[in-house]
Amino acid sequence: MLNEFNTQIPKRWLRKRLVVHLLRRLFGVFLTKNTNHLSVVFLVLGITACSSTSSNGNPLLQGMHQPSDEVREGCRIAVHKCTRCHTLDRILTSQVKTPEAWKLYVHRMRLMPGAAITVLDEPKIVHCLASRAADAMPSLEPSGDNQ
Amino acid sequence: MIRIPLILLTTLAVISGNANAQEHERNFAGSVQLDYLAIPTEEVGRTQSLDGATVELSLKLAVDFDEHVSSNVKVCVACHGLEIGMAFLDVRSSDLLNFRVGRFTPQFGSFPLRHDPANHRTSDKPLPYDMGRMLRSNEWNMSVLPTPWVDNGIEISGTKFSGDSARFDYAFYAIGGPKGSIDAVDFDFIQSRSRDRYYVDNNSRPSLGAKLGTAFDLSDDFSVALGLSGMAGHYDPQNELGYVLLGADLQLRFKRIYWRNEYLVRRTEMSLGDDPASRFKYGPGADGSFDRYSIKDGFYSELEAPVSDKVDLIARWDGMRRIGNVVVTSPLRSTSAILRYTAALAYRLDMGLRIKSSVEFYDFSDFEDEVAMHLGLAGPF
Repeated sequence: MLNEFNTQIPKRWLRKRLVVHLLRRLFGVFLTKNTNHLSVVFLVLGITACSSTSSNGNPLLQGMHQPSDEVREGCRIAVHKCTRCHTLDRILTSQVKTPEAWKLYVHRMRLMPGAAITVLDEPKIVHCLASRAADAMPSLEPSGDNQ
Repeated sequence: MIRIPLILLTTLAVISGNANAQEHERNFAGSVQLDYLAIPTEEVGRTQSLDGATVELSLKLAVDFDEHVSSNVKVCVACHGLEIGMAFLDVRSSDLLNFRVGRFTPQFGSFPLRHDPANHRTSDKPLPYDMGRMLRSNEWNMSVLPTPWVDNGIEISGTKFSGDSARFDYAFYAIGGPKGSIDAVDFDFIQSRSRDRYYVDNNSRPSLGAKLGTAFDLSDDFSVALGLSGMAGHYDPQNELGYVLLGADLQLRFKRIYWRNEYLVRRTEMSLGDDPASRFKYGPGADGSFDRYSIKDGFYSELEAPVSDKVDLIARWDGMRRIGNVVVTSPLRSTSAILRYTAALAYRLDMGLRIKSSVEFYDFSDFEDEVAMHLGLAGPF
């Protein structure tokens, strides 16, 4: 049993040149171990990522037919504010369909702790999301087949 | 007991389904993540962590009864089997006053808001919030505050908006709190997640906590959010072993680039037992008495940058430290630390699915350094 707390090693540990150590260790693993198959996967993913095209567009506007300036503004705010807590995939895959439902949903989100959505943001974001939902709805115009 | 979450979810679904759909807006959502963890520096990774393939699934039903009342029920399937992650009722009298009652994750820090695998880009959680996926998890008895920390209780919260660019949040809560045995030296996380104790506060005294936060936009492209959190109480059945948990978080956003930072520290009282000299690895201090407290703290700093509509790059630096006496069987020392460096890439497929990949380097003070690799698929639905 030691009679005093041993703090010497952690101090040495903190003094280590961590970045240099990290690089040496990583490359050492990749070069010497026989289990580097996953590193190939990461390399392929990296090349795929670098070669992917970037549209620099707003994902929420994709698929919408000639969105108005108000909708564009709402979707711009949504991209910036909603991603603080979750990915946009949450919105893109959401089952919420009606403007009334989006209104309640965004209101609830606005009051989530740490949410960035302000009082003025709320109706703009609702406008964007409700417009997206409306665009995704099938046309309700009669087809004339009943005649 | 295992049927209770399903029964709850089904009951709520039936109740809400029978109600007038125009009055009660229901939203069913979920997420799933399948992750493969490889530890190339070890022949058998299972000695270090839960390596190999693991799946995390959550199913959530949110019901908005009106603008003031909503309910959420969420069941999760992960390392612990089927569990209730949420079962609470929100009653909002105004923006300034919201009551949450039931089983929920109390407000602490920033990451717990994004703990769902579909809500963050990395395969695992930052070290101070890790719940069993870090290497050497058993030796460290997990993290400072394993997330999601789900507990029973009541929370009062609210938000004050200032103009169009700033807001202030507060929250106070009373929950059952962490659990441990009579002679504990740290929390017993198995007791906390045990379904047998969902409805039992082991010491009949709540833990109390609070969070204060603010968020403001400096411009359309630049915003800041910061918060302070605290929680305190006792965790043993005799209500004698106390703990204090504090946290601070800072998040900066420039366009769609996020820089997230958090620090957590927990001071935990240990039971010395009848014979501390034989129980602990280190002897008494200069005053002849054994130190009753341990301190566990941790941090993370994470930079998340989208490089295209489909690709996000993440760089994370996190660490954890424990200071204090340890039992004789522990491989840790009086001061032990981990630093971890993570480089991650998330690639978005169609339908919201995302390939998550990362390489992590663990720098341990008490063990051999390790490399871990994650490759997984995650997404909401």
